[in-house]
Amino acid sequence: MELQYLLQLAANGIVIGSVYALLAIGLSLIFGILGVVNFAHGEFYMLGATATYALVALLGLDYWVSIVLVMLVAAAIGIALHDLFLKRIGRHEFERSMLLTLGLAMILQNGALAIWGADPKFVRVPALSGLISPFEVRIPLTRAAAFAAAIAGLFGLIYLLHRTRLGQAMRAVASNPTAASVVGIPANLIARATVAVGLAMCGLAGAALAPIYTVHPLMGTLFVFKAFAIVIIGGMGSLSGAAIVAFALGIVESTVGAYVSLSTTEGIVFAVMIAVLLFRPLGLFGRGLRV
Amino acid sequence: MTTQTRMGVVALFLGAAMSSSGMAQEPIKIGLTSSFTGTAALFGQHDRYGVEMALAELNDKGGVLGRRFVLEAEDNKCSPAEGVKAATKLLSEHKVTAIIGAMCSSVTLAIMPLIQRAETPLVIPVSTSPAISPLSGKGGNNWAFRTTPSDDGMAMAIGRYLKDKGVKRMAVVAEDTDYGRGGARGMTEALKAVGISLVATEFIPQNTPDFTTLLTKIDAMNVDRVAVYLLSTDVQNFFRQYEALGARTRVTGRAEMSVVRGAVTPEFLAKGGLDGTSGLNPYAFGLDTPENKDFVARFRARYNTDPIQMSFYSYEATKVLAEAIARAGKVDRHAIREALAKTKYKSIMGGQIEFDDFNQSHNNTIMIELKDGGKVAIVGLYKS
Amino acid sequence: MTPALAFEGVSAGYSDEAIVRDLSCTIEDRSVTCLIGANGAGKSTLLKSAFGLVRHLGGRLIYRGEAIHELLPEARLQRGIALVPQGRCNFQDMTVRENLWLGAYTLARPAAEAAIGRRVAQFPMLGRKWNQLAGNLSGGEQQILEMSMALLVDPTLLLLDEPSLGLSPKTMNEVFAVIRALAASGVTVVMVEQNVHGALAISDRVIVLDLGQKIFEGPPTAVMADAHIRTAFLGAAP
Repeated sequence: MELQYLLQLAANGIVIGSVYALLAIGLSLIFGILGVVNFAHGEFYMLGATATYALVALLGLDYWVSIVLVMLVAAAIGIALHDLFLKRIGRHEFERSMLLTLGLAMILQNGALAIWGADPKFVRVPALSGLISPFEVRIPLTRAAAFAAAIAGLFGLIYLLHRTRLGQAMRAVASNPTAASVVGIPANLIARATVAVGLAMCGLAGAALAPIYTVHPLMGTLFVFKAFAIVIIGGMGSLSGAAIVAFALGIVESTVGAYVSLSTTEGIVFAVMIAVLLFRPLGLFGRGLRV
Repeated sequence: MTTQTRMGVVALFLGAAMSSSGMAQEPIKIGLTSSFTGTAALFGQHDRYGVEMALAELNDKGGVLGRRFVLEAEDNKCSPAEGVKAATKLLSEHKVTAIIGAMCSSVTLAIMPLIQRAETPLVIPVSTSPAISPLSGKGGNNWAFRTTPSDDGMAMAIGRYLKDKGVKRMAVVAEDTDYGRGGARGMTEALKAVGISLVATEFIPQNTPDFTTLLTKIDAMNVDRVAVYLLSTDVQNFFRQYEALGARTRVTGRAEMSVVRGAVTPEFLAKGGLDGTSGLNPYAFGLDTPENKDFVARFRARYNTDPIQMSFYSYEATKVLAEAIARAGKVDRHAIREALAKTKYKSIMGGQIEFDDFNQSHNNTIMIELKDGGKVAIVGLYKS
Repeated sequence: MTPALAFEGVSAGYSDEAIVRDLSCTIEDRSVTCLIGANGAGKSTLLKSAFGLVRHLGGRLIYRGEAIHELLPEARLQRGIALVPQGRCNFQDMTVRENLWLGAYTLARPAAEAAIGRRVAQFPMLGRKWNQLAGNLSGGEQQILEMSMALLVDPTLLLLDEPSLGLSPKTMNEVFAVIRALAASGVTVVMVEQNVHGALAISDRVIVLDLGQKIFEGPPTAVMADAHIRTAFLGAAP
């Protein structure tokens, strides 16, 4: 019983960790390559979930097709975001980037409230109703699917960064923007692709989570704070750091939350973040775009 | 007859004439402040329906003390600042005899000092914040009377229901806000009062996305029920994940069963996944008693819609106030206050509206359960 | 001789403030030109302006008859201009192999493979440290790596910023030897160099900058003969 309880908690934690990882890695990627902290990340996740709702519940599209569509739309929005706004911000203009993305977050959140209202919406995927119960551990199919989507997204990103020319160029820009210019890597195009990839990850997270949670304009706020904490603890721009911390956080939240109290866990995350900022400003895994 | 005596006769005559006919023409002004615009506009509308219907019924029978009632209504937009403006207008401009209001607890708390200074009775039909009682009656403000059960009173009612159900072990989950903390505290005291052991209380932030850890933890506690104090979006998210995870611990609290049912699939409801889930309501139009059926029929005839908590409580608050004016025997604010304090009014809900030392009444409330494949059923009335 | 690169009243800087101001000069094809001057005179800025890494604030830049001052760095690279910036300008947390492949970023795969093969043959050290992180190489090895990366595209104009900085005398000589060999093979070289005596020995022409402007231009012998410049910029011989 006790062991099974622990397994259940660990399973919960790993699933939620995989989603944290998707959000945090997108955030970290954009920071690593553009030097921009995207405070609107949570709102793009919310838009991803809302778009999934529109495609699945309103237009009656297949869920899996919708995931791909949402990622493509998110990538397109990423390109627009880059070309309209982020392109105009230099690597070291932190205040400008913060104000811009924060403003964008407010507009998106309130815009969503104005257009769709605060009423929560539900995305139902009949194929994913039910549970799988390996070793008596109850895992809803929706969560198993979200985990699979997240892992696919993460491995897709690793493949992109290590096995493609674009990914190599992205890592180069993150590692040394001047050297990247010197070898002829077009900085603007890479930045644009990065924002597109980062937002596609957001879209994937939104689409993966839409069948699990209720979809509403404020759904991104708490998640994105966690994602920030993860990115800071893992080291700004360190993708592997973000991924490790995301999974660790999922498991710690789930087990500590179960054995101590849930509100304590919420505090722990941010206490660790502050401690890391004080004692290891570069994060536990240092800076640099590494997987 | 001396001139003096003649004058006296005239004065007597005039006085008698005024008390029989002249004054009967001047109506009693009742003030209402509620949220007629903004997000709570629908609730404010029902506040007005209830008061208007009660006054119309009273006027049809000739009013009280031979005088008719008129209503002065002022919008407070559920904002304390607007509430103070509305109350000031009702008190100094319309010079109302008494005020009914103010729906949102924060507004009620803001206008309580004003009605005390103006020595004008305030009857509170809708605001449920536990913060109101400790300030009323013995708490200092003996001009404020609350007819609705407070959140604490409703927690007591839930406690009585759980005792009836033979519940021994409980857990409480609440959002980490004034609402959640207040609800959890009320529940803790209610459980203590009825002798049910509280195993754990969990606070979670508003807009928490994930409830799996919480649900897993609750199931592992082996409690008979979990009382949940969450607001709309979180309630739906909670039940959505409740279904997905196949959680087993039955839920009680204050949630609207219509909201709960909307959060899960029809299949889950049909196979009894939520049977045994319960929620306490201050009022439900489906209450199957002759008194309530009669009230609902009259309400529908007038407004072509079903009454809700706001319309019902405002209706009865108005009746309570009119009954107190009748007993006072004169339209005098001090006399009305004295009479209100001695109220013994038989409510449609079956309880007796009478005010305790803190001017709080303890009317019945309705426990609603999901049964037989997710059907909504009223399982009983519980004193708050 | 025909001019490879001409600065026509060029002003450039990192912000709106010009560091190089209204500078005109020509770089002859197949020559080695050395830029000298005090710290802050604008030498590095002038080199970077030729590659497009700093803000162009005025004037024209003509490369082999074509105005290039509005082109992005990658476009200038395609026209045969390469830069090796000052300091460690490689990808520290990537391997030598990855650095070289990035150096050949603008080339098609077969061409890149061939170019990398040639550089590894030229500098066997690169092959020996093939899978090591660039950040773990010595200063001299990193300088060789960076020059190799720049040479992968077979540039016709090579801009070198302090190629000998921080190197031991032995490595420094190796680096100068490489530059001499490049010049001999027909590459036009413009370099900024602290080690003026070493640099002048392999230069055809010297341009002296002060406060963002050209104050002298001529062959090394003329520079050595100018008493004022010798005391101001050349100091004691090493």
